[in-house]
Amino acid sequence: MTTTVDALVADYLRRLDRAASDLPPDRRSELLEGIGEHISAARAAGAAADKAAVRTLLDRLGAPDDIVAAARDDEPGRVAGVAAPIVPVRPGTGLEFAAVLMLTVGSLPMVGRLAGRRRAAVEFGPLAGTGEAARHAGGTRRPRRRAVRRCVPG
Amino acid sequence: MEPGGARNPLTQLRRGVLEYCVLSLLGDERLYGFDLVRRLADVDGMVISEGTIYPLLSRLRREGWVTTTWAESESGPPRRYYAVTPEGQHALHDFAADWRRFATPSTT
Repeated sequence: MTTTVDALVADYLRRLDRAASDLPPDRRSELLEGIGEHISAARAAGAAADKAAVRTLLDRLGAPDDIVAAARDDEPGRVAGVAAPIVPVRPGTGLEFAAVLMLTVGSLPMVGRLAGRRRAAVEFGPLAGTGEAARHAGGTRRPRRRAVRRCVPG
Repeated sequence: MEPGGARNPLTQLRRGVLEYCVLSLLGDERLYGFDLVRRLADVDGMVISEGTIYPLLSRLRREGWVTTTWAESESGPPRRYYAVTPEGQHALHDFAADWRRFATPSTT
């Protein structure tokens, strides 16, 4: 049984490694380490004791391609698998420019350089152009999200 | 993937709020990856592919909202623990305020 579990895990990590072959080396190793640790912790917790359990574990982790796609999404200029144009902006004018773009393109995801220092992926949903843009022009440096879900502290 | 994939509004919403769920969980205590992922899974099926939490954590680390430390583990090799930074806490509070503003007017 242990051999089969080891084989399943090794096969999964091999596929993950292959899928991640075009990531920058530091991100690739960080990803492999994280997933590897996850699996080790699962096994230590007894959550991968037999073939069925480890298959469930790996299914829950998800397809290697999807995981690597998420790592790629975090690269500047790419959001949600769509190559979004990087908006080069001068420090101090970035938000105004980004705000104007947002008003014109509506709900497309964009990447912009906010306030000159930190890059962030900015997604604007249905509220784009309703005044949120004007608020963004005030110089904030964090990605904005709109969501109606739990898991938000009161 | 849900119908429509990345363009599905529900997918967008989940993706948008997920990092704040992570920050919220880490705000209480630092957690190692497996523990964090399982707690997220307990929150109303928030995560579809658990493995995608790791790229998210890497991004939060690059943003300066999360830091990592190594700690010895009784049951094997040292583990990487994730903790929220003051900047991350600030971002979370800002998001919570925004969300309240967004959600408080009647949203039928």
